[in-house]
Amino acid sequence: MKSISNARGSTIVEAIFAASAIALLFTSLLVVAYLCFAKVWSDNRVYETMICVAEKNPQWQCEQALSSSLQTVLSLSQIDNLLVTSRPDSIDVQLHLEVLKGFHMNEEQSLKLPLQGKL
Amino acid sequence: MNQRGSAVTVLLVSLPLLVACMAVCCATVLLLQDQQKSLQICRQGLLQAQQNMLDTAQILFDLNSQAALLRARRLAAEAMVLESAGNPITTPPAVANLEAVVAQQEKFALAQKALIQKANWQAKLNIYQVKGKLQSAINRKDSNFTDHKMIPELDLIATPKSSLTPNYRPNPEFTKTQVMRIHWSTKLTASLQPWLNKELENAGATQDLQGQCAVTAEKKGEGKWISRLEKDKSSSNSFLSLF
Repeated sequence: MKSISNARGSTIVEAIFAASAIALLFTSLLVVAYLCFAKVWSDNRVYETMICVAEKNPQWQCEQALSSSLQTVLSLSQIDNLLVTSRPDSIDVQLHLEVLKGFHMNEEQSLKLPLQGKL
Repeated sequence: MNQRGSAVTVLLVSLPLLVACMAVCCATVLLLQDQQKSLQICRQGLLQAQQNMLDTAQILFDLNSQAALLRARRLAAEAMVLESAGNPITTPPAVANLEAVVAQQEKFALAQKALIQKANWQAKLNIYQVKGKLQSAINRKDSNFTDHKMIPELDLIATPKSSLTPNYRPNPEFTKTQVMRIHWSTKLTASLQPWLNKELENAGATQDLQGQCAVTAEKKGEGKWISRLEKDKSSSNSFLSLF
């Protein structure tokens, strides 16, 4: 009886460890996937914002489009800081994003003007 | 053993969920990269095509002073012919001078027209090259291109109109009339890897993936024209409509 009870006890412990390990692995994979996606998406949107300003659209409109696209698609993230600077010879965008309430992401891109076939 | 069995069951149940999440992530990243690449090709190509056209137009504009000089010479030659009318000594050289000036004008007019033709043909060729590059980047048989007013011709005003060698200048609406635009659409499912394709087709995802880019001409500084991206209401945010 004692050996059966010991075996059951060790099975429970193993099951708990296995379940925890699986949960940890899955969560880590999902977090990594989300972070990768957030990076690619914010990268893409920041670039499109610079193009939007280069197209002579009002700057506020481009900033608003960026904010709304980030909020819609990356709903688990929060914009800490967004700065779009438009100069006659360049456009700069600085974005500071807090992803999953713990990961900070900095995105800085610059576009030289006039474009003339070089993007 | 039952507990171990349930752990394996949890693993088996949650694994497809994890794989599905990863697949959606991969699909979206692939789509984004695809779209970004196509837009990049389109924008770069059209900016270059427009600039080539404008550079040729600039050469034509720079010839205006010579055109004006030839017109003045012709007026002077015509005046000499009129003055010498009836005089058998001065008339032949005056007429010969006028003929020489007209010949110069005809040669010059040909050069002007050749430049206009060159700009227009160059634009056509460049845009077809951009379309070709886009087609191979999208690499789908079912992609559609809209050609509506895709290739503009140099919109110039000649003054004086009746002259053989007029001055050419851009139309006041030049920025609007010089717009080059390419619009394309492809099936959303056609941009993905076959294994993702099946999943999305089963989910009923048949939305078109659209792209568009446009460029126009802008006067910069002392009369120099440069190409710039034109406001595009659809392409920047069209991708958002997928979500």
